[in-house]
Amino acid sequence: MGAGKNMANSKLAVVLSKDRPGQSEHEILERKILGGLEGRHDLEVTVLPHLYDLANDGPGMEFLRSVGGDLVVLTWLYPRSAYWVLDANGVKGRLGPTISLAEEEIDVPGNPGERAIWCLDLRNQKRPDPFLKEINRIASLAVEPATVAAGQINGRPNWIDEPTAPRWYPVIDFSRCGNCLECLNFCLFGVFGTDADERPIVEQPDACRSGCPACSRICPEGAIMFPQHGDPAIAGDPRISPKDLKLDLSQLFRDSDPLQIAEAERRRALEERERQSRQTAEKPSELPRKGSLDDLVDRIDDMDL
Amino acid sequence: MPKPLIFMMGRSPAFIATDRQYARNHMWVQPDGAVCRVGFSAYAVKLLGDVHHLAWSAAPGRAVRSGDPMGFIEGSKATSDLYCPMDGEVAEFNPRVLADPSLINSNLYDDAWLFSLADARGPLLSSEQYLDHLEASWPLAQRLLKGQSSGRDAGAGGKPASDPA
Repeated sequence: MGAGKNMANSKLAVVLSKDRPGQSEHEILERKILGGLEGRHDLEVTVLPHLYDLANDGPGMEFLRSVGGDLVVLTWLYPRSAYWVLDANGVKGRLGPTISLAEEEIDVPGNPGERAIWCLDLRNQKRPDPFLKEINRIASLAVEPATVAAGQINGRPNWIDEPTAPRWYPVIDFSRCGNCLECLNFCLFGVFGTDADERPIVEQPDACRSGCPACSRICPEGAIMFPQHGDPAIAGDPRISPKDLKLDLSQLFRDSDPLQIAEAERRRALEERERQSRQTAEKPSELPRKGSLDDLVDRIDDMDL
Repeated sequence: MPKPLIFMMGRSPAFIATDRQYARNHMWVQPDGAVCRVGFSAYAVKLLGDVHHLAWSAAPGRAVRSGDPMGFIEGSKATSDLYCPMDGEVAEFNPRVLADPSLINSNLYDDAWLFSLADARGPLLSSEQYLDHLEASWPLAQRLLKGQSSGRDAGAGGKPASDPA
């Protein structure tokens, strides 16, 4: 293994983060890309489960944190989402410009002096060739070679198995966050906390209510992403800034105003949690605060409560 | 088909079919055997523009309540979450519309029903009452849409007037 360590010093770390299971077309693309990278002794290829589903203290994130030097990450996420998921888990760097980034995304986060993290969105292209070409381009640019703990064997990728289940939690884009702490005040589940600098952080990601994107809507800067949400503006599409979103008709199509929608989403999630805690015969959890806003919502779905 | 009612959205007419009922969230509801079919009103479709994406988050067989989130739609002019107009149980999502969402633009009152509900319950409006609802809510809708297109004042990121906590 001594020889492997020497070689690692001149390698570029490439991580392919697989999609959640069950997407056969996606698996085919993943396999083709890995096939195209096979035997490349200038790369250190590692395969991980879906980046968004990795536990902070699991082997996947441990591995990512252990990578020094430049890093290429291929995920089924917007580069912006992938970058901030990594950032929240202590994998820091600057976002390297790639084919996956929209031209409009000029302000890539991070400092010029930092190592580069190149995030490639696997949803961008149906064929492996553009990704392989882009990895070649980056490999020719990369100045900081990888220091990778786990080496690949005979040019074959290193697979890190981590049992994962689909997760759902907010991801904060700190290049947009205005530090108003609206999210902290708004969320009833205690998902958000603050760090030593009084900036919001996602403190209890798994306390988040699956499917509830309410804090993303309430954020005045559009800084909160839910990478698995159907609306690109919420999932982290960098081309859609809060200022040029398409019209959102949700308030009309739910016959209510935006605050009511967010309130209703929050309340619904709370009710769901109460149902679940009743089912598991746990202690009764706190009831939603009844205020004028809730009364407005009640008018819409008067079946509630 | 009987003569439709007309609601003028500015200078653009939206034709409101009179052979069915409506929910306040701009969906039409029409009994079809044991279930009720649900589709978009012409008013809703005009606001969306050319529809190119439709996805459902609910599953057939699931009990739903009025106002429950059910899916997501994107058109050339707008996006929206989709909400259930009544209480009931999701019977079926129209596979033709899922395969070709542009059907919503070409045949909104017939082929492009969105989903069907079993045991559907909840208040509905007649076509005349729906026209009244459109007339009454149009100034608010315009304010909302204009607010969004000139910033986010009335949009999805609108700040709460008071701290809910």
